[in-house]
Amino acid sequence: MAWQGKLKRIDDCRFEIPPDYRSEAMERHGLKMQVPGLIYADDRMIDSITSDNSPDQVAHVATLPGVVGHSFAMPDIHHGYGFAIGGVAAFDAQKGIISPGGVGYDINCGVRLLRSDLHIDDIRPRLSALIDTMFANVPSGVGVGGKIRLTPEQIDQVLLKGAGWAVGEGYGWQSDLEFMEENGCFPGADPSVVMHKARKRGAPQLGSLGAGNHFLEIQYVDEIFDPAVAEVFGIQKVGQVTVMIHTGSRGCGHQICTDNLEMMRRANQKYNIPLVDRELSCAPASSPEGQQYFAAMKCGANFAWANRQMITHWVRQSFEQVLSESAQKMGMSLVYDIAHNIAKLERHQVGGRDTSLFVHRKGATRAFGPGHPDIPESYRAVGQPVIIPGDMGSASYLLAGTERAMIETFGSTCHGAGRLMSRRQATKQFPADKVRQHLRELNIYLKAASRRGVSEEAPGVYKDIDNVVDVSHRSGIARKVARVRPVGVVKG
Amino acid sequence: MDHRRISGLGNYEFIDHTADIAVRAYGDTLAEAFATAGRAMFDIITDSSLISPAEEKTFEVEAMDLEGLLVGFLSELIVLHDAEGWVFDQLAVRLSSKTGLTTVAKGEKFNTARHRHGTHVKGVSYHMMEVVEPDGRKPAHVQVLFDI
Repeated sequence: MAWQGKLKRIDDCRFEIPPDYRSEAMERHGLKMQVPGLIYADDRMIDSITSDNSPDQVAHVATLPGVVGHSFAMPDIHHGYGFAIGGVAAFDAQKGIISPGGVGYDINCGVRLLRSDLHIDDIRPRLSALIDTMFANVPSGVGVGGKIRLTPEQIDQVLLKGAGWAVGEGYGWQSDLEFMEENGCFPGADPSVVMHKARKRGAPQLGSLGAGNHFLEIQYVDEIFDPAVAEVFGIQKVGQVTVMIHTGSRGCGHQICTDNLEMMRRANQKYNIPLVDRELSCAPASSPEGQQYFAAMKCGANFAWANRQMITHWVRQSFEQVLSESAQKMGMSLVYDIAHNIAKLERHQVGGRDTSLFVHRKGATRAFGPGHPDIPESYRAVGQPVIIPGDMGSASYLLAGTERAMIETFGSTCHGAGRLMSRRQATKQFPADKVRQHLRELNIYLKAASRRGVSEEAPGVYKDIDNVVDVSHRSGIARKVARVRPVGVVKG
Repeated sequence: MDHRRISGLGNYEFIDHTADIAVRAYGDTLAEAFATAGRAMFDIITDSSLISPAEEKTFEVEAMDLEGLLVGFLSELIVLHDAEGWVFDQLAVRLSSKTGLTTVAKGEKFNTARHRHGTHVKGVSYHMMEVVEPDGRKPAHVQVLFDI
């Protein structure tokens, strides 16, 4: 269903949903937008954004108590449930709400980028061996668990310590921890609020990729837009090999979301918060329910950081096995690790005042500008690295956060290409064999656990990543540093 | 949309959604529509026609309303699948009230040699949800969006 509302063009990258807009559901519930909506898009993509009614979801988020600034839609926005995917919204820590729907089921789904000193020409002949070894070393696919089995005490440590637990167990390097949001461990995580079912789902899945849009990619640097910043991030030359890891908190985070949605529905009644859409269920951020969700969400986030850390270790091992060289010697250090489904308590300027906000990023990436204390010291002068994965046939991007993002979007930008097409339509339109053939023609080697997954994740189902990143860059809410192209892909 | 007829249970159809998969499932009773929705979910996860009803699991769900029960029922099936590898092809649901149900599920553990890999279902959302009791000649139906 196409969106029927009117958009006000601000400039060639911004469209506003005026605060007097009322959707049918808003009329029905007698609710108004507290702040305007702001969509980052250009003329090329705006029609696809209004074709799926996601602007209504942006407007609905703007009705929630304590929302500040704008309800944002990043250029990769698409229709989600409750909150749109590609949405950013911040709520006053005292007067506002926190909502599991603004984070999503896959808590701390995120991306990390590993660099190397290798050149694509050096590994081309061994590429299929590298991908096959990664596929063998990193469990992937539906219903496929990890290689280790955790005791209940161990899983508490994972929920509490995140990537730090994994490093302590010998997965990866101590230095990795410096190059992750929150250093891979959300302080204040409280495993005692995580229910038994979340542990039960999470325990067998720690250290696994999962299915859907999650992937491992071997890539090479195809273009460097900003050599000075790229150098700071360890990206020196075209042809340089990188590895990208995209996965999240697996069943653990999904179950934490499920358990808390039920709690939030009850809280919603208790605190009498009117909702346009049930999926926006929330609680006052300062309430016991709000705090309990936040503490549980942090546990889910820590699980995801531990998960990506273990996978990083197996990726390095795979390179070591195939190339008979140590990962250290190959320079396989972590560029950065970002979360793109998360809520965070951050301080931002609102109306000239330093304010504590719960910033919800659902399918959006933190993009802190230069000088922010949460950025690793060695990167601080240039801004936070932002990693934007594209589809498996095109490209992914490394960007840097900007001061403009700090002022305008609470330090946030886009998270990926964004889907254009439903999975069922994709299965009909892109048979797995044709997708493989297409990738072969592009000289991309694919190893996948599922044929259906190959169709559903066909390059054609996603928006043009170049266009999405271009809008982020032109609008100033991130700036382009380098583009990488895949040569080998592992899909769940 | 495509429709599927499952022996002993109602029809269901998939409804297109950009990021996720929505299902509308029918039944003579609401309990049967719940069961159909469960079976549809295992057609997303795998091909449920290849599952043999070798073993039985029973579980109970409580929630604040029928919508909560539907989410709780499907979420419990996801937990059994995710944590223990179960896939089910026969589901019998008994609604004891608007806030409680019992399910007897028959199936087996997922086996890569015999079962197809489908799509991983992460969770069950309230978005687009409909829970409608039978009314005269109209069957009961439920509509649910799975987070993929």
